[in-house]
Amino acid sequence: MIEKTPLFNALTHAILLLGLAVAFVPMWLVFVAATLTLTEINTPPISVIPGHHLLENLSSAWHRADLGHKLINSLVMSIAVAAGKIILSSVTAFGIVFFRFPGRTLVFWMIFITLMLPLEVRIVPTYAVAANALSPFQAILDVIGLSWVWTQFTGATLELNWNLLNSYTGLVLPLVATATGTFLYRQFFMTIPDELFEASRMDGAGPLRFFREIVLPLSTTNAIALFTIMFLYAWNQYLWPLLVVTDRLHYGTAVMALRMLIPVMGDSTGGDVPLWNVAMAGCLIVITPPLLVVAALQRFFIRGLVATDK
Amino acid sequence: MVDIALRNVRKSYGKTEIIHDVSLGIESGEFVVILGPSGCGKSTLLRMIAGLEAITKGEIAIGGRVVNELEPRARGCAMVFQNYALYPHMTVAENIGYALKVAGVSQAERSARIARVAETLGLADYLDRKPMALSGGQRQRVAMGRAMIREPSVFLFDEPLSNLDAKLRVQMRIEIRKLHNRLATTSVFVTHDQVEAMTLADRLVVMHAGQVEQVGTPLEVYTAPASLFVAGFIGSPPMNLIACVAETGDSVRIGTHLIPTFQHGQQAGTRLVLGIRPEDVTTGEGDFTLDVEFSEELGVARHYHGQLAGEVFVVQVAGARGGVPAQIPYSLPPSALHLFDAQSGKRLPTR
Repeated sequence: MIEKTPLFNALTHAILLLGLAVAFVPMWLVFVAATLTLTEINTPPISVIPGHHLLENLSSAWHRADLGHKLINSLVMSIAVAAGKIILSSVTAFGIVFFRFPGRTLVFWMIFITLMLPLEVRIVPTYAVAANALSPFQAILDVIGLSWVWTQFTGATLELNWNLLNSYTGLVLPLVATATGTFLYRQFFMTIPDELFEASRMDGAGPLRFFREIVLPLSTTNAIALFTIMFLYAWNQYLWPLLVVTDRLHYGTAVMALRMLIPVMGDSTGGDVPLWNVAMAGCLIVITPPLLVVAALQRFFIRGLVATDK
Repeated sequence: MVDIALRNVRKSYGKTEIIHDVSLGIESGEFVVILGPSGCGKSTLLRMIAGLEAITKGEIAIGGRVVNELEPRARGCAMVFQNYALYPHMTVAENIGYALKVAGVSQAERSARIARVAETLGLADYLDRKPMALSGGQRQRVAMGRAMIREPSVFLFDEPLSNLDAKLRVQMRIEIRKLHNRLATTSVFVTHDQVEAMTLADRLVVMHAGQVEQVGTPLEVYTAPASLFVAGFIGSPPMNLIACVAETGDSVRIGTHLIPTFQHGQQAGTRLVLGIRPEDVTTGEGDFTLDVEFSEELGVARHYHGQLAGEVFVVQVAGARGGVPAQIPYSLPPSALHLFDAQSGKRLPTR
């Protein structure tokens, strides 16, 4: 908007404040709830003034849900997903943008259609693969008859097995294998002028060197933006960790642990009165790491998405 | 010091051939400018020498060695690109020294050579800056430095001055020429700007539609254009070209005017094209009269535009002062005339 009258400014500010309130009030209620005692929180009406029990609620949530261990699990998983994503997508985008090879368009569209199959849609086959990551190869060998040949020669049946359940690998790999980052990188790589590649060729650099010393440094902001997005994405995962992790004591994530703070009737924790104040304190703890990541990286994040560093 | 030989070089993309059978010899230490309108294939030719484009047919030899299959780095060429193609994330020093870094030259030697090159180009104070923080002329110099540091046997320039403003262009032109005088490295310079071409070249190659029209010193090309295309392309304003018909012996006819020329040896009635440069027209007296349609003031001279036999005709009057006359009498001195075959466009030899 080019218009700048006091009335118009007031109006835009009012709309902004409204938006802020819509986003902020639920967070405030979570914070307030985390500072009250169980009795206070169950007394209507809803209190909007913070109480004095924040620390004890935080400590209670920390111990009940074993958050120390779970936060580390979540961190490992989120960082691994974000880093894996950056490596995978920068390399694939480099291949698609800078090389001319037969089937290039086909490969591109194959990657593209995976966008239409998010994890939730393909969760059953993905689980099957996670239970035995080599099962697709086993199937191929069975079909083409190599398994039979193997049995004839060795007398033993061929059974490939690589179980990813209850492991960090299982938590991370299926989340890495998506196309979003590839597109972000592809769009950026396409803005790199051809002359830069030609200049590096004249300077004697091969493709890998060009990738490492010119393309990667140029796409730093891009990488940071992708890191932020993927960190949040992985941190907030609920369904997949719930499926792939049965050993919750060792491999449970922080978001899964939050669920432990809310007892429901018939659950193993018994039909206790839900400790909403502790649950909300748990929420506060769990949202802190992603909040810190966003706060630290948002400067680059915005630059990486809107502008290019050239 | 190496020479470059292009032998029957062709380039096609799919079925479209854009370079048709170009053969060219570039002597060691020579500064050759390839001049032509956009789309004539001059940049493609340069990129084929550099190794950035594959050679469809024919061969290119640098220093006697056929380089068709060699990677750019193995050909010993350095190139300056039109938009400089500096690495935006590297400082000036890193940009200049990148080729050495790739070649595995030690840090100490690299710094010394960067300092030396930066000194010659007047970049010593800017070594720690990023290209973003440089002016157009400085970026141009960095691009030159990047090419110079490898001490290449051949310099290739792909319209390196076209992104600069007029004043800087003249200045950089002079610097490039001075540099060449000092280093005497074999250089190929591609441009569409004829002033650049005339001033820089030891030898000029005029290209048109994927073919070489003429090769010669700038003066040869200017005074004796080999074809109608060259005649119309070189010179500003270009040569006046008027359709005419040959008369026996040493004259041609335009309409009712009989114009004495040199012995052209053409049969009477052959269709020819008569050419004369605007500055070669004798004004003040003569059989012809120019009805001035408008004039262009250059300060040092004035161009009067009119018509001859229905075609645009321009005369130049040096040091013209005062008002624009309505009519100018002029004559066509036979020694300044050029004749071209209307069919083939080729120049008829002056006997």
